[in-house]
Parts: sequence; C-alpha cells; structure tokens
Amino acid sequence: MSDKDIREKMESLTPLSGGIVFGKEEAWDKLQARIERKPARRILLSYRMAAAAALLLFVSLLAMYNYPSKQLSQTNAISDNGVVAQRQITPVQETVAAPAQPNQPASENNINSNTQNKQLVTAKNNKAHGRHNLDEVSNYYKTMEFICNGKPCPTEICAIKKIKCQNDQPQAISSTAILESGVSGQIPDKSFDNVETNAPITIEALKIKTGTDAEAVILNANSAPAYCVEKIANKQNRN
Amino acid sequence: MTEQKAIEGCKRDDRISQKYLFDAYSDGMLVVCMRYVKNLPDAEELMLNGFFNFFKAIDRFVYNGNGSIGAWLKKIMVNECLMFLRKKDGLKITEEENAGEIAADDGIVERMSAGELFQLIMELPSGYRTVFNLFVVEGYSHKEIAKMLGITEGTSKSQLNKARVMLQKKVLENCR
Repeated sequence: MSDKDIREKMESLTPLSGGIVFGKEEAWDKLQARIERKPARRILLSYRMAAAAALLLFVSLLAMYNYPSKQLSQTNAISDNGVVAQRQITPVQETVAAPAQPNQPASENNINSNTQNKQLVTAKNNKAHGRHNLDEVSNYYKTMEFICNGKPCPTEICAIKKIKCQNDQPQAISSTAILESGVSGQIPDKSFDNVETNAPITIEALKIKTGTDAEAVILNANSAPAYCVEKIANKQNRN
Repeated sequence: MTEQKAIEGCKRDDRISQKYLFDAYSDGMLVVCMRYVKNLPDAEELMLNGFFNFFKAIDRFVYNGNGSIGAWLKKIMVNECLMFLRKKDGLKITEEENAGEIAADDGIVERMSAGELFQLIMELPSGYRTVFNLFVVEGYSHKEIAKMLGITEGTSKSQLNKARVMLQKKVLENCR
C-alpha cells in the first residue's frame, strides 16, 4: 500500500465516483449571494480606545449634571409679582391685568430719562449664555426666547397682550418679568380657562423698565423699529 | 476562457470569471473537504467558505501556470477543514503506542477503485484520518503536520502508523 498509489487514487476521485451528490448550481447561488452581500461594518475597539471612550462619557455626564445647576441660578423663572426664584422654578401666577391701552402711542411722558436698558438683548441660542434648563419651566407657556439682562441693575419687561376669549370678546392680559442683573429668563404666559385652545394672541405693547425709579420705554404699533435704541442713546447722551 | 484570464477577471470582481473557476474546481475541492469532515453539508459549507476566502484574497494570488490555482485552493480548503475540526470536536489527537508492523498488501490498493479506497479512508477515526490525509494525500511532512495541529512530531508519526494499520485491515477485509 504505497503512499503514491493512494495519493493518485485520491486525486483522481470525483464526487460521482466517491458517491457524493451535490447541487453545483445551488452551491454557486449560495456563494454568489455571499459574495454580493455587503460586509458588515466591523468596529474594532482596542482596550485603550474603549477606556478613553468610557472616560470621555464619564466626564461628559459629570459636566452635564453640574452645568445645568450652575446655569439655573442664572436662568430664573420670573413671575408677575416680581419674584425671581433662584434655582427652583415656582408655578407662575399669571394675572389678568386691567384692560391695557392697546395701541397706546408712546409718549415722552412714558419714558423716563434714566432708562438704561440699552444692553437688553434676546439670547436665543446664544452659546455664551450656556444651556438653559428648559425642562423645568416647560409647564408654562412662555416666550420662545430667553432674554438676558446684561445691565448692572434689574430690568422689568411687561408684555401687554390681546387674546380672544371663548365669548369672542378680546381681553387684554399682561405678563411681567423682572430680570436681575446678569440673569436670563423667559416671560411666562400661562393659559386661562376661558381662552380657546390655540386662540390668537397679539402683543400690543412692550414696556421695558430699568432701575428702581420706574422709568420705562414703551414699544407698540406706533413705535418706529429703532425707537428703543434711539431713546436709550438719547438718554445716555443726556446723562 | 483560460485560467489566467479568469484570475484577472476575478481580480475585477467579475462573476463570470468566478463562476468559471468555481465550476472547474468545486468538485475536487468538495472531495478534499469530504476527506476531512465526512459530513456532506459540512463539507459543502466549508468548500463555499474556501471559495469565498479565495475570491476575497484573489489580489494576493500570483498565477504560476497550471496547478497553481488548485494548489492554493487546496491549501485554503485544508485550513478551513482543520479550523472546523478544531472548533467542532477539538480534534483530540493523543500520542499512542506503535500499532505494529504493516503487512504487505500484494498490490491490493492498486486494484481497488478510488471510490472504494475513499470509503475506507472515511471510516478511519477523525484524528487518524486527518494525519493520514495531511501526510499521504496532501504531502505535508510530520514537522508541518505537528505545527498545523499543535501536536508533537512523534504524535503525528504514531497517528499515521495507526491509521495505516487500520486502513490495511479494512482494505484486506474489503477484498475478502
């Protein structure tokens, strides 16, 4: 029984002579399907990369938990009664104001000479002001934008609005916010029971008051776009 | 289509060229796999794995004339089979005592058909059959077999001797 004889016989063996029956075409179809299948994307992570990723995740989570609490001290809920809640958002007590004077023209009398709100800015998506904790104030209707008070003194903003009630009668309401120096917030706007869902609300006037001497700038339909800026600039020049 | 053209085609991922090589070599490679794993569905799967790896690594293949494709494919198939056996049964090969002298067979094997001999080889235990196939049919040395299977050269030799004796007995029984 020489190895050469055995080798020759094995090399001459065909599936048929060995009693092996297999479907070549089906086998090819299987192979073709496997060749055409897109290889699954394999992500190879070394231990170092995995450790680095875990560390990064840990640091990110840590930063995420710490950062909003810092921000919250600057992002205060503002109520109509002028209370600025620090860190804790309290339900907003919206009051229906006495009918305001819609379309009230702004007059010099309404504007105090000491108004210093030139730096009152809206801070929508302003990265410099960080991330605001939106979840904690989500129970209330509020302005879409955060307003940041960059002045060294508190600023009061009062939005005088007209809303259509269920009895089709327009009603004037006001929302007032007081922003302490260096904080940002939103003007709350709670819904009322007698107001239809999705009832149209129009802002008739905005009253901005800075400082403690009750001087205010009123912006309404009669105000020119640059009215506020001009007034503030004039006051500054006078001061 | 020549083999060389088919190889060039395969390097361009041409299905017709791949089919040409598959048709030409699949029968032979299935027999190679059958010699190691016995079971037809397993052998077919291993043969397909082998061809898949062959086409995947075709860029590294250098055509050196007739026989080079077959030799390369056979190496791939043998590796696939050994991996499969290691995973499936752990391919337990232990050193055994020498099985004794192999009697002269008076040319019995020469008179046997390839199919008959194949069936007798298939009856050998897995460890014997693997070493026998690697040494006698594939032509690997004991050193190479020892390295491939993770055993000593002595174990490879003793397994081969046992396989020879057992096969001899089976051949003689078959002739009676």
